[in-house]
Amino acid sequence: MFIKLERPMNSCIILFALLLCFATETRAQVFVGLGFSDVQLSERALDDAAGFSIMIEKDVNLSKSRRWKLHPGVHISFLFSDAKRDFEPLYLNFISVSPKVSHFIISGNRVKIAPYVGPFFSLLLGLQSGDPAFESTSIQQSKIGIESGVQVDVSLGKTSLRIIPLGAQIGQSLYRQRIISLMVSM
Amino acid sequence: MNRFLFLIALFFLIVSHKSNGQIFIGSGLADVSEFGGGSVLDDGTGFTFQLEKDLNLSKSGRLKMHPNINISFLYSNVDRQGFPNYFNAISLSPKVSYEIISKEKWKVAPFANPFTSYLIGLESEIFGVLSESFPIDTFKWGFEGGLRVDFIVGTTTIRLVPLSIQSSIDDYYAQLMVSLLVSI
Repeated sequence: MFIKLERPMNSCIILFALLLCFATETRAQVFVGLGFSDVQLSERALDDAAGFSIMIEKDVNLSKSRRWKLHPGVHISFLFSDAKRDFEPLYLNFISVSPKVSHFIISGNRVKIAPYVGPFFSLLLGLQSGDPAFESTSIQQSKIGIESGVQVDVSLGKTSLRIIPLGAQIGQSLYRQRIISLMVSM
Repeated sequence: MNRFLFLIALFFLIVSHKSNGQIFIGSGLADVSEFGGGSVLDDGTGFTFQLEKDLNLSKSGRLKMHPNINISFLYSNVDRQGFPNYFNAISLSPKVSYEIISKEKWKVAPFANPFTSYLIGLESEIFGVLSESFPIDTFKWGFEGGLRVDFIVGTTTIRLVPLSIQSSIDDYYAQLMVSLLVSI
């Protein structure tokens, strides 16, 4: 772990510095949405968790043809599926920031399809509770890796919908995450 | 849980209705107190992540509504020896503010509104030598008030919320927040 998370102020400053990166271009579309995510943290099946996620991303044009786009985004997951089990209950969040780059391979009036790829950086915060034999341990880690997937944009008049039928994050030390999400433009 | 997810989805749909308002994103510090259990052990501090959108309610632009989603990560108690806990507070609120000072470069406005908040997390307790864990899964609602100061710097706006307090009516729950947001 290379970022000290003991003080809330540190995480807060890091997050704010990342958010400042969003504020460069003012006339771009912003998408917000909800999704489901499924995380594998290590080779132990006990460390798998699933839950819902909230996503925010912004579109920035990279080319004049508007086929290449950059989507700086924040993705927050609430992985509560293991909070209620009897053995080693686990609750964790992760906050991931990624500048995804997408290329629209199908660019119709109504429907646009684009695969995307980009690096990600994520903070994992959580608690793994103890049983009589085990002590509680906190989870404070950072992960880096590569994120990829397919996005489908459907425009409905003024608003547009963005569906990510499948996205995946692949990181160091067997960290994997699968994402399905639906976003609307703000 | 599912009902709250439905609420968030509904909230996003409402926010997406009017497409020309400014959108703010930011982070801050939060402090949650829950005196319902009769102990200060349930208090937590951490950081927050916020997203809000400005909608004009009046023609002068002084009365505004800011639908806001605020996600708090309260991890101050995650490392302690007895009764560790970790939880999130996800709150939705339609903030209504009135600009009492509205200059060209800066604006000051108090806000007041109802809020709903969903607490999700995990808590450990120790009975003798045995420890047991409980999921935190509760729903709160109440009223929120605070003050915001907007600074206009070129094309972006920086919004400072020096203090915002959420207080529940039916039980003793309160959240204090300090946050800084930028327009995107």
